Formats: sequence, C-alpha cells, structure tokens
Amino acid sequence: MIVQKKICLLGAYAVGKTSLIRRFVERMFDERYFTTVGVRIDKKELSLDGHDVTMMVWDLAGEDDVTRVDLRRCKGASGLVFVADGCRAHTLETAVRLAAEAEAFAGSVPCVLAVNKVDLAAEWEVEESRLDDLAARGWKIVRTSAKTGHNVDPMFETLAREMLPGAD
Amino acid sequence: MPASIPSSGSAPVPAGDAERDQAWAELRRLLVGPEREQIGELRSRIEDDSERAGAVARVLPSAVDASLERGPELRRSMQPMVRDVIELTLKHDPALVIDTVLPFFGTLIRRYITNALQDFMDAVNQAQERSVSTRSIAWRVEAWRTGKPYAEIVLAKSLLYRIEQIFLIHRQTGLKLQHRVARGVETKDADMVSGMLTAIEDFIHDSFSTAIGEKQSDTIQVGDLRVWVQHGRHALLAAVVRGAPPLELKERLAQVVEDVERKFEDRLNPYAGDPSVFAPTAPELDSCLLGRGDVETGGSSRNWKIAGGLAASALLAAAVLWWWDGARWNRLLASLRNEPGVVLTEARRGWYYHEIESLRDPLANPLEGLPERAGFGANRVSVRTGPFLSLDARFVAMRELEPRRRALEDLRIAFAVDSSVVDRAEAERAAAAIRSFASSAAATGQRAIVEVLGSADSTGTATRNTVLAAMRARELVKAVSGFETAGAVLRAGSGETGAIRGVRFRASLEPRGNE
Ligand SMILES: Nc1nc2c(ncn2[C@@H]2O[C@H](COP(=O)(O)OP(=O)(O)OP(=O)(O)O)[C@@H](O)[C@H]2O)c(=O)[nH]1
Ligand SMILES: [Mg+2]
Repeated sequence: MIVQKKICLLGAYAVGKTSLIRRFVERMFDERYFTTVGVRIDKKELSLDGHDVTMMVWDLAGEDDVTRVDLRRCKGASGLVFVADGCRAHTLETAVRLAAEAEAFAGSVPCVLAVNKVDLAAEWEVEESRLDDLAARGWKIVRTSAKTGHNVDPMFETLAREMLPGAD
Repeated sequence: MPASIPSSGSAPVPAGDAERDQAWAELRRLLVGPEREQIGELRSRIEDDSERAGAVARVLPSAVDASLERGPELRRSMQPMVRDVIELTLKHDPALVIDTVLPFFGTLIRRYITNALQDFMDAVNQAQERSVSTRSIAWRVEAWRTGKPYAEIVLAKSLLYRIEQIFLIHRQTGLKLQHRVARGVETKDADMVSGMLTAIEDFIHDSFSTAIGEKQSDTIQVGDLRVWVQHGRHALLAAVVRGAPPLELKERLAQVVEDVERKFEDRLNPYAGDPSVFAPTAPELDSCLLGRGDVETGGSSRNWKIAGGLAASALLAAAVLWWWDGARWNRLLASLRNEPGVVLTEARRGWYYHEIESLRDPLANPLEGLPERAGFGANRVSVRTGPFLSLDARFVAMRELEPRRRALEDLRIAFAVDSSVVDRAEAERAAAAIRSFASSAAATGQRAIVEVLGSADSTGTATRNTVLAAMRARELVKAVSGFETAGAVLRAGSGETGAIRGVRFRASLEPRGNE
C-alpha cells in the first residue's frame, strides 16, 4: 500500500531548507544561494519498514526581517521540519518560535528540529546547553549537513516513521 | 527666527521720509535677506506639486526605513494598498503574478503539463488544416442553410476545446487522490502538479482574504494553459483545459465534486493518505474528459464524418469499378481461351493496364480488336503473341488443306486420243485427290467445290476439240461420282482447248451451313 504524506520545512532564511530537500530528493548540493520565493514542492518516494511512502515536501520561503513565514501553507501537513543554521544562533530561536506558531495551522503533528551546517564546525554558534534544554522539553533534534549529506536521510526518515499509520 | 521679524506693514515709518524708508528696507535686506530667500523657496516647494513630489521622493526611502524600524504601523497602513495593486495585477495578468509570487510553479507546471501535449496538439492542428476544405464547404452550407454570416459560423466552430486532464485533489493536503488523462495525453508528475495547483489556489484566496466558497470555481491561467478548479468541501477538482470549452462544463465539474464528496465523505475527512481508495472515481472523472470520442470538438468530428463518408464512397466507387473491370477482363480471357489456335500463357491484371501473353497459330484468327470487343478502351490491354502450331483438328485440317488443294489442282487425268472414256484407275485417282481435299475442307467447316476442266490438244478441229473437252469433263464427273468424295461438289466446267489431252481441276471452298 502506498501512503501519501505532506511535510513542510520551516525556518529563518538561508538556514538550508532548500538545500536539505535537494540533498534528500536529488542527492545534490549547491554552494550558491537562491532564496526561495513563495513555495516549492518536491516529491520523494521512499520505502520504510514495508511501507511505500510518497512524501510531498513543501519548502516554504524562509523568514527574514521583512517576510514572515506563511504558516497557512502548513495546513494538512503530516509532519514538520524546523530548520536552524548552527552558525547563526538566532535562527534556532526563530525555529522554536515558528514551531509554537505553526501548531495553530498544522495541529500537533510529528516534528523534528534540524540544526544544519554541522560541517562548519569552526563557525558553530549554537550553544550545546540550549540544545540540551530543548531536547529536555521534548524536541527531537538532529544535527545535519546538506553539504556532506550527514544525517539528512535519517532526519527525514525519523519524521516519516512517526507519521506512518500505527505510529503515535 | 523668521517669526520674530517684524513685517514692513506694521513698522513705524515716518511719513514723507523716503530716505529713511529706503534705509529700513536696506537694513531689512541686510538682516533677513538669506532667510527670505529660503522662505520663498520653501513656499514654492510647498505650493508647487512637482517640487513637492521631488522632495518627498528624495526622503521616502529613508523615511520608510525609519518608519519600519520604529514599528509595524507603516506596513499595516500600506498593506491594503499593496493588496489592491496585486489584486488588480492578478485580474489583468494572473500568469504574471503566479510567475512572480510562485516562480517555481509557472515553469514547472508548464513543463509538466504543456510540453507533453505539444506533439499531440500539433498532430491535431495538422489534421484540422488538412480537413479545411471539407470543413469550409460544410460551414458554407450551414451558413446558407441558417442564413447566418459565414464568418459567424467559422467563429463558433473554431472555438475548439478539450479537457485533457482531471485531477481530484485533497484540498487540505494538496495530495493527489486521482488523476485521469484524455487519450493521447501524457503527463509527467501529477503528484507535483496537484500540490502546486493547491498552493496557487490557497495563495490566491489567502492573499485576498476571499473565503473559498464550497461551490466556488476558479480559473488559473499559466501560459496558454488554463486550469479550472472546482472547490468542494474537502476536495478540489482541477480540469486542465485547452481552448474555450462551453461554460456548462463547469457545472459538470461541480456535479462530479459533489458526487465524489458524497460517496467518499468518510475517506476524505480525514484523509489517511492512501489514494487507492479513490480508484472507483475513475469512470466519473473520465466523464469530464469531454471529447473522448469527439476530442476535436463537434464541428471537426463532423468534418471527419464527411471525410469518412467521402472516403467510403470513393472506396465503394473503386470497388464497383474494380468489379466491372474484372467482369470485362474475365470476358476477354474467356474469349481468348475459346479462340482456336490461341493458347493463353500469362494474364496480368493491373489497376489500369492489363497484359496478356499468348501463343497463336498462324492460322488462328487475328487477336487485334479482341480487347475492344470485351469492352476495354484502346491501349488498355497489351496482347503479345508468340508463334506455335496448334494440334487442334481444325488447324491440322487447315494446314493440310492447302497442300491438298495444290495436289488436286496439279493433278492431270489423261485420256486416249479423241476419246472421252474415263479409265477406271484414273477416275479413282481423281476421286482420291478430291476426297482428300474435301475431307480437309469439311474438317475446317467448309465445303469443297471442285470444278472439272476438260481439255483437248491442239490436234483436230476447234469445234471437235471443244466438244471433246466438255465430254471429257462430264464423263469424269460421272465416273468420280461413283466414288466417295467426302461431300465435294463437282462441277463440270467448260472445256479448254490447246492445253492437254485430258482433265484438270480447280478447287475452291465455300462456307458450309447454307445448304
Ligand atoms: N556549508 C554548508 N552550507 C550550507 C548547508 N546547507 C545550506 N548551505 C548553504 O546555505 C545557503 C542557503 O541555503 P538554502 O538551502 O538556499 O537556504 P533556505 O533555507 O532555503 O533559504 P530561503 O529559501 O531563503 O529561506 C546556500 O548557499 C547553501 O549552499 C550546509 O549544510 N553546509
Ligand atoms: Mg529556500
């Protein structure tokens, strides 16, 4: 049986949402930055524990000083990925705030927090204590790198497993 | 400072003292000159619109920056105006807005839907162009029949349309529930298109806070591609439309959405993500792919019918012609087969030219004119003949006839001097020659006519000789009549003189059957 699910990626601008999806769907990475306007939709088919899952991945334009994330696009999503840039500490707080706001649109659905650009260790800014604190409050946190591909598939698969029928 | 400058009108000027007045003015000029010029400039800035516009323009960017830094008031007050502008633009050029707001979609949707159809459309267009003559004739007839202007008919009939694809989409998630395409149409990724259509729909309605009514329908234009979106409570029905379909088709879409929602209510809300449960909607969706049978609109399908009719009658005519041609061909072959002394060795029937190879006995009837007699026009049939000798009894007989005649005519029956008495052996010899010739003649269907010519030598008187010659002929006929001569007709001819002392024969033939 094929199950179709919609998931959304949210976060501040330039944290690597589009890059994570590109790595997951096309197995590619681009150093260049093309900011996302509006929405992008991608599709990824994967097999998990005997289930065939078709994931429709919605990539929402990131939040900056002028543009807010259009959270209405989250409705109907079965799972949410909040993305932060490990080299810009404030993007972690943006992700946490977006998570609180998104619940009104998506309901309480499985979530994961991707702290991205883990390959840039020298520029790392996010405090480990802050991440421990969030983990203690129930956040599922994955350190990812769209550039090296580190933890990208596991991050999406963790979320997918939680969305599958039978998971809580 | 300018506020504290005393005005000239209120200044105490001693009467008649022009010099002092001038001194005051000079003083004033010295004191407040630069400010006055500035005031004049300021006044003109305020009063002159274009001056003012220029001034505002100079400070607007920094003013907006400053305002946004202070708080959200400016954004809030400008939003309705921006929205109006976008709304206007959207009304005038929806594609532009989709391309600017959702740049990723415009190209993708076009790529996913449009390109795949191009070949097919080209084929259809070509067919249309080719059928143009039959079509325009039909339109002229219709214009004449209805009394409408020809151009009006052409306009109406040229509004081709086709519903090429139907998407049943779960409204909240944008997930594809079912997707059907018209025959000949290919699509790349219906899942993606479903999501994007939903996003566009949401974008339009969210941006302008227009609530999506349950029965509402929207038209999204992306390039030359139009998508009709019919809203239900939980589902969207999106039809990819080409051309200008009659608006009634929208009602059909609305009806289908309503139907599907009624039947699948429990599986739509909530939707578990398994599209296979919507498989049974296929026939209903297919019913929206209008033009399945008459894809290129009614008008053109009638053209095809006309063309089909013409083709059918042409085929029928060809069949009749072929059959008729076959009949005369068979007639020709039969006459050739029945022709004595002719053997048909090969007969090739073409669509127009026919060829016959044959062998012909030199004695057989000439074959010229035979095809014409069977009903063929000149030069339609080429008849080639090779020589051969037929063993047919008649031809054998004919071939014998000539030598036998010659033998008969060379025969001389001798008589004694001054005698007309026929020697019995001589009579038998004559009878044998006559019989041989006559039997050959009979075999060829003819009667042998044998003239018996008596003669006398030059001895004796002429009178005596004439009598003697006639007597000899008559005597021989009498004598030969006692023998079998195969039906030869013997005639005793007049005598000859000065030739031989005896009898000779002249043989001829006459057709039998007129006895
Ligand atoms: N080194 C490194 N660079 C990354 C990584 N992920 C993304 N980038 C870079 O970060 C920049 C922004 O990435 P995007 O994926 O476009 O960011 P985004 O979140 O989609 O941005 P918006 O669409 O503007 O919201 C690009 O130049 C990427 O190459 C990563 O894991 N490591
Ligand atoms: Mg992006």
